Amino acid sequence: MAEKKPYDDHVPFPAPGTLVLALMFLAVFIIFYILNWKWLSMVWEVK
Amino acid sequence: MANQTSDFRTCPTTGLKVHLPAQTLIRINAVTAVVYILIGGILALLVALTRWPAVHLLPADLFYRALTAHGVTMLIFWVIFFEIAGLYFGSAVLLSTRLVGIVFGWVAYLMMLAGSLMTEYTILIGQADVMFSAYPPLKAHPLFYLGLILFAVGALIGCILFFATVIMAKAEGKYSGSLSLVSFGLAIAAIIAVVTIAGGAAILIPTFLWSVGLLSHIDAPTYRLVFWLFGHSSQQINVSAMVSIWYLLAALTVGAKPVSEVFSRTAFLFYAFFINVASAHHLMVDPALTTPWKIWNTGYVFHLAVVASMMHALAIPASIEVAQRKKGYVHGLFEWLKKCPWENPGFSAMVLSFCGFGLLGGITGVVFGTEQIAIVTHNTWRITGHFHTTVVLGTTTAFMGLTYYVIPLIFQREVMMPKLAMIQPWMFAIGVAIFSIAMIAAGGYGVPRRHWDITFAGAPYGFEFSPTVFLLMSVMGLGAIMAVLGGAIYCLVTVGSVFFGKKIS
Repeated sequence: MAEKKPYDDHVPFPAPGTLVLALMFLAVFIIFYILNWKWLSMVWEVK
Repeated sequence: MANQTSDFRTCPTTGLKVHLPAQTLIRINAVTAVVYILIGGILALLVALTRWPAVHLLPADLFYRALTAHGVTMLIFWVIFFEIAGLYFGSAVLLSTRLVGIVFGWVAYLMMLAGSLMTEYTILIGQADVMFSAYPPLKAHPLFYLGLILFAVGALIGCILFFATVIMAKAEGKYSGSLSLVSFGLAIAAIIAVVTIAGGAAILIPTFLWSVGLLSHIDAPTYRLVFWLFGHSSQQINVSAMVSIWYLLAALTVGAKPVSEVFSRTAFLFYAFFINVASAHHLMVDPALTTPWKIWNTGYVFHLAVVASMMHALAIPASIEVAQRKKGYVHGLFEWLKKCPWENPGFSAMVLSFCGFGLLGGITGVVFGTEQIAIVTHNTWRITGHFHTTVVLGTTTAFMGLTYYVIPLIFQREVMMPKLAMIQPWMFAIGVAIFSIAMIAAGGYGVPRRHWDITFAGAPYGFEFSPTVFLLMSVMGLGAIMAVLGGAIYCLVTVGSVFFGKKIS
């Protein structure tokens, strides 16, 4: 019997769940980075 | 010298051949590390309960003493004793070979022990209230610096033994081709350690000579620059060792294999070349250094180390997912994650360490390491919150997870109180996350780090913080208590298992 594949054939990446988690991580990173620039602009206003 | 069969035993679970004299050295270094985390944990509680305004436990002098001892104990002694145990494990045990130079291993251990005791003693008698960084013109008792130098030289000998063992194992045909990924990661940690110790020697030896009066002065900006090659890079040893432990725990707990060895090894090589530049972010508001120096190091070079961490952050969960999917957990995007062995403290500690280090520590580190943002975060509690998510939530939790495998493999004892062991990583990691997030949030309101009394009671010029700050500092105190309880359970379970656990034949 052929060994069971760890993922479906139509999924191009062997770890699709990891890819989603990585994208969520990236989103959190971007949001936190933007917020920090926003906070910086509030503390140190450039006119 | 040929290997003598009587010096080895074979682990019934893993099949690894364990060199018995190496096993003894691993045990003694690991036990000493646990003693230091116990001491550091008690000091952590004293510091946290003093910074919690409603409690404000210690007077100012004792607070700074406890803070200095806490920093040195946790950032240097706990992690490096454990890492030396890890280096011996990663060379002699994982390669099923003998540890080269056992006598030197004992010399290294005794030097590290004597050095650490010397430094702790000078701090506790009040002769070194200089904080972890010990910036001149603050001057400690000479034994403070001498102890750190002795400790560093001992650790250097440990690293040399690791390299010698790896080379000897190759010569004796114990492995062919490249080192295993875990040993490779530990080798990178050892390389970073050698650079770190060289940096430490370069600044601590002249500072010691200054403290005994043989040098008239120490240039303060030079001290700050070179010190962080030691002070921060010692934490980069942790990063490489911790990531290696993640790969090891992923293999031990779910049978994960790296999806791409080349990918993971490249990430480790990035650490070797670029991670020490992260030290530069301590100096971004330092007037002695130029803006181009700061921008080049923290805006460009440093990010190659960040990329390395992100590569591991993709590679490790992917390896777990592939391993789980091979077991048949293929439904949906996350069945593999749901079916992971969450009750296994080795697995939960790895995941908590991984998430804490990456999501909290990594993101805050990169953001605070941006030169413009550093201007408003520097010397605030945001920094303290950041490095507690990397060093404590990341490194310490990973080391704790590995301990649950070291006990049966090296100490040949069953882990006692399995229910307590199961909840321990959760309790510890959630407690650390709570107090770290509270620190980061309070730091956002401008709360300074290393400060005994932010209310400035009795001072001629006061400063009033937002009431939210006091709420956040209380949350910090509660989180710290939870984390210390988690740490106490770790000490109870590990020490109990080592001395009273059921023997494994």
